[in-house]
Amino acid sequence: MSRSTPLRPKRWTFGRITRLLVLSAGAMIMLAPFIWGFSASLKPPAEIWSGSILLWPETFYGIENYTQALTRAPLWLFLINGVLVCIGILFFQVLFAVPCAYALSKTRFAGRTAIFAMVLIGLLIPIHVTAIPLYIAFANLGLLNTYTALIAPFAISVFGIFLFRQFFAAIPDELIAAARVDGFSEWTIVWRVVLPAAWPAVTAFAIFSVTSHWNDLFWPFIVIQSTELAPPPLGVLYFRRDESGVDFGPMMAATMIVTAPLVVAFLLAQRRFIDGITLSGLKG
Amino acid sequence: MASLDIVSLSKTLGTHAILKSVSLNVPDGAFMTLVGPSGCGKSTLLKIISGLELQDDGDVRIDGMSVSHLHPKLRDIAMVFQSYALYPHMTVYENIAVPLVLRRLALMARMPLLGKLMPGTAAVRQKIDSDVRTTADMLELTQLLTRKPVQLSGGQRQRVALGRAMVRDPKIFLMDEPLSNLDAKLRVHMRAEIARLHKRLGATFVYVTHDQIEAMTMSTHVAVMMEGEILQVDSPQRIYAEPADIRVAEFIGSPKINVLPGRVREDGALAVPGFTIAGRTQLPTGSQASVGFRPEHITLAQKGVAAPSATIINLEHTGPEVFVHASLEGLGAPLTFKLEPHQAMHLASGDQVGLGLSLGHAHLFDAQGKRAPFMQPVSEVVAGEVRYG
Amino acid sequence: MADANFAPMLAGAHRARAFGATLSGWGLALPATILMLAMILIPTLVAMLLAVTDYQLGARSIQYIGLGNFAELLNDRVFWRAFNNTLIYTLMTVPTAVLLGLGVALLIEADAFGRGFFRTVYFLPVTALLVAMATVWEFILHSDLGLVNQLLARVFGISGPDWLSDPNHVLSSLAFIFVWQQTGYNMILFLAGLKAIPSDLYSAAKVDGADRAIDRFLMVTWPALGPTMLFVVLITTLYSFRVFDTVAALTQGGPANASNVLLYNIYREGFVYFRTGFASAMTMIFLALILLVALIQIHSFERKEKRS
Repeated sequence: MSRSTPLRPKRWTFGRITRLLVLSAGAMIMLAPFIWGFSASLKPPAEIWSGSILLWPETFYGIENYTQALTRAPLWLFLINGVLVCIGILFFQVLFAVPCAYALSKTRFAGRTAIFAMVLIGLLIPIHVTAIPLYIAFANLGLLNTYTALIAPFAISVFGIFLFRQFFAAIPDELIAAARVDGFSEWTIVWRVVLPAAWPAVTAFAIFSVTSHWNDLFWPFIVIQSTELAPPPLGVLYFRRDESGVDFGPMMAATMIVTAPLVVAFLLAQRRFIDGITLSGLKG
Repeated sequence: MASLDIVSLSKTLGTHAILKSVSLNVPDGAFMTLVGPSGCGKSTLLKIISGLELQDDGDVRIDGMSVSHLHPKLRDIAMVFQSYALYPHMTVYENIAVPLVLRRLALMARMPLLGKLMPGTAAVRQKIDSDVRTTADMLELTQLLTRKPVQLSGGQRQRVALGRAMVRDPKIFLMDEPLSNLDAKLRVHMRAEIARLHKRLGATFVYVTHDQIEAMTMSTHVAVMMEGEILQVDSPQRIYAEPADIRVAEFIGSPKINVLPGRVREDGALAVPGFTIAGRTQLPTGSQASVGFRPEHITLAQKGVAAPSATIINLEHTGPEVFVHASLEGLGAPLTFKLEPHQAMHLASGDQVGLGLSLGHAHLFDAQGKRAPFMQPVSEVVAGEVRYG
Repeated sequence: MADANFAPMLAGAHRARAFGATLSGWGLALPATILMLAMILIPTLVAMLLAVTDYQLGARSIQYIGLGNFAELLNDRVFWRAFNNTLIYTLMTVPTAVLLGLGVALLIEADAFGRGFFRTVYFLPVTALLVAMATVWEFILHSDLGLVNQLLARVFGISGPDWLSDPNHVLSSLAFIFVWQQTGYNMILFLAGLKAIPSDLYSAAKVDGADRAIDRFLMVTWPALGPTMLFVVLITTLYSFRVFDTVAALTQGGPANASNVLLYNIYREGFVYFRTGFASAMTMIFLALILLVALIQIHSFERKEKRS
C-alpha cells in the first residue's frame, strides 16, 4: 500500500462492531418465524411437545409433516386459487386502468377533471368501506363463493390509474405526436406506444398488486365459504380450524408451503420487489 | 414532393395571439427555414401544417389542395422532432418500419400470427423490408438496425428519426428544432448531412429553428418570424444583406448589428449621436429613424481623417479576428466591430479611436422599423459629419 | 380568394376535433369510470345510506332510523372496546415501527458491510403471508411449548405469560407481530429518503464543524427526512387501523374482546350477525378515521407546496 493513501484502512472499530451486533440481533427476530417454523416443520410431535429449543430435529420428521400438510388440506389448490385470482385481478386492472390513465394524462376532453376527481376520492376508500354493499350486491346476483366475487371488486384499481397517469405524464408529448403522425390510432397508441414506454411502471405495479392480493384475507374471508375456492390466506385459516391447533408439525409445514412462493420470488428479484411494494408509498 | 401554401393563418390561445394572419409560400423542393426567438409562433405554425393542431382561421394547402380538415396521418407529411420521439421499446428497424406498416398493412394483417394467414401480406412485408433497408443504407444505419434507441448516440438517434420520416417518401418534411439536443460538434456535422439529404431527395423541407446559423447554412429560403408574424421571406444571403425590418437585422448576424438612433434633418440627412450621416433619405423631415452597421462594416478610421470617435471598453480575441466593444458618446449601448488581429495589436481598453464606417453597407430603417433606402450611396466622412459624395 | 374568411369552414373541423377528442377520451376512460362507480363510489354511498337504516341482511323490511345506529354505538360497550383497542394498538405500533424502521435504516446506511444482506433480511417479513407467519408466531408465543417462554424459563427461570390468551398481553402480542412486519417496510421508505439527501450536505456540515455523527444527524439527516417521516407515520397509522388478519386468525377478538378491533367488530356485526345497518354505521366511523389521516396528509402537502 502506498503511504500517501489518505484513506484509513478499514478497522473494526467499536462503532462498527456495535452496528453489526445490533443489526444481527434484530435480524434474528426478523428471521425467527421463518427459521423456527421451518425447524418445527421437521420435528416429530414428541420433540415439539417437549418444548425442545434445538434448531435441528433429533429425529427427522420432515417428510411425514409435509406429506400430512399436503394431504389433509388442498394446499396446492389454495396456491392455484391464489395464482388465478391474482392474475385475473392484475389483468383487469391493467386493461381498465391504462387507457383511463392515458386519457387523463395525454388527452384533453370534456369531463376529464370529473373522472380524475373520482380517482382521487377512490384513493381514500379501502375495500373495508365498500365490503357490505358489495356483499349484498354479490349475494343478490348469486355470485357469492365464486372467482368473480374474488376478482370483480379489484378489477378497477384507482391507485393503478393514479400511478400510470404519473408515469404517462413523463412520456414526452412529442412521442405521442410522432405516433399520431405515423398513423397510430388513439387506442393503439395506448397499447403499442405508451404502455411499452412505461414498462417499468407496469412491472412495479404488477408486483404491488400481486403481493397485496396474494396476502389479502379480509375480502375472501367474507365472500368465500368453500375450501375449493380459498386463496392462500383463507386456506391457512381453514387448515388451522381443521387442526384445531394441536398438531403443530404439519401446520408449520403448511405455513412454510404457502409462504414460500412469494418469499422465493422476492429473493430472486429483490430490487423489483422493493420498488414495487414501496410504490404503495404513493397510496394512502 | 410538393409545394406548400399557408394562407392567412391565425391561432389564438386564450387572449394571446400566437399567429397573426401568417401567409407563406414554400415552393416545391425548397428548404424553408422558419427562424425566430422562442415563443414567436414558429413551432405552432409547424404543428398546424402537420395537423397536430388546428388553426382558428386561414388555410393550409399542399399542392394547391386544402388539407386543413385532414388528420395528420392523411396529410402525407413526415415530422422530425426535437427529442427524436423514437419508440423506446422498438429496434431501429421497427422504428423506421412503423409508418409503412401502419399505412400499408390492414389491421388484421398486423396482428401477430393471424397476419401471416392474410393473403398478400408476405409481398407487402417484403416491400416494407426492402424500403426500410434502402433508407437505412442511405443514412448509414444498416449496422444499427437491431439496436434499441437507448443504445444509440444522439447523432444516430437523429438519423433514425430522419429515416422514419424519409422511408415513406412524404410530400413534405417538417422538422422541429431537430438539432438542438445535439452537442455543438455533432450539430455542425448533422447540419451538413441534412442539407445534403435535402439535395439528394429533392423534397420540400420546412425546418424550424431558433438558431440563425442553422437557418443561414442549410436553407434555400429563410422566413424570419417574430411575435406571430413573418417579417421577411428571402434567401439567406438577402436576409443578411437586405433585412426588411430592423428586428430581422438585429436577430440575424452575430455579433448583433449596431443600431444608431437618429432623426431626419431638414436637408434629408440623418443626425445620430455624435455625428451626422448626410445621405438623402425619403423619410419625412423630423421623423425618427435608425441606421445599422454590421460589425464587419465598422473599422478604424485612417490617421488624420476626421471621424466619429469612440472609447474602447474591451477587446475580445477569438483567434482569427478581434471584436472591439467601444462606447460612442451620446449612445447608450456600446458598439461592436470586428478587426483583424494585426489591426488591433496596439489597442487597449480606454483608447480613443476614430471609427471608419463603411457607409455603402449602412442599413436605414424608418420609425416603424421598416427598411428605407438611401437615395444615393453614402461614401464620405468629413469633420465628424458623414457626407455622401 | 386571398382574403377569404376560412373561419366558418374551419368551425366544422374544430367541432369534429373536439367531438373526436371527447369521444376517444371517454372511450378510453369509460370502462374504468363505470367500474369506479360500480365498485367504489356507489358502494360507498350505499354504505352511507345503510348506516342510517335498521337493515338486517335478508330482512324484508328496511327503515330509516336517522342517527339511531350511531346512538346505539355510543352505548355499545363492545364497540367502544374495539374502538379503544384499535387506538391503543395504533399508539403501540406506530412509534415502535417508525422508530425501529428509522433506526435500522440509519444503521444499515452507516457502513457498507452487510448492507445488502441486512436490507433483504429486514424486508423479508413484508413479503411473507401474514396469516401463515402469524400462525408461526402463535407457536413461538405458545404458553408452554413456545420458544419465547421456553427461553424465559431455561435462561431466566421465569414462567412467561400466555401471550395470546392473557387479556393483558394479547393486544401487545398482536402489535408485536405488526411491528415485526412493518419495520422492514418503513426501513425501505427511510432508506429511499436517506438516499435522496445530497452527500454534499454532509461534507458541508463537516466543514462547518459538525464533527460527531450525532451533530451531522441533527443538522442534516433529521431535517431532510422530515417529509419521509411524516409520510411513514401516516401510512403506518393507516395500516394499523386496518388490523384484521392476525385478529381473525389468532384470537377472534378474544379473550373477552380484549383483542377485538374495529374491522373485526365490523366483520362480526355485518357478516356474522348480519346487522347490516349497524355495521355500516361502524364502517362510517372507520372511514372517518381514515379520512382524518388523509386530511393531515393533504394539509401538510399543501403547506409544503406553499413553502416551495
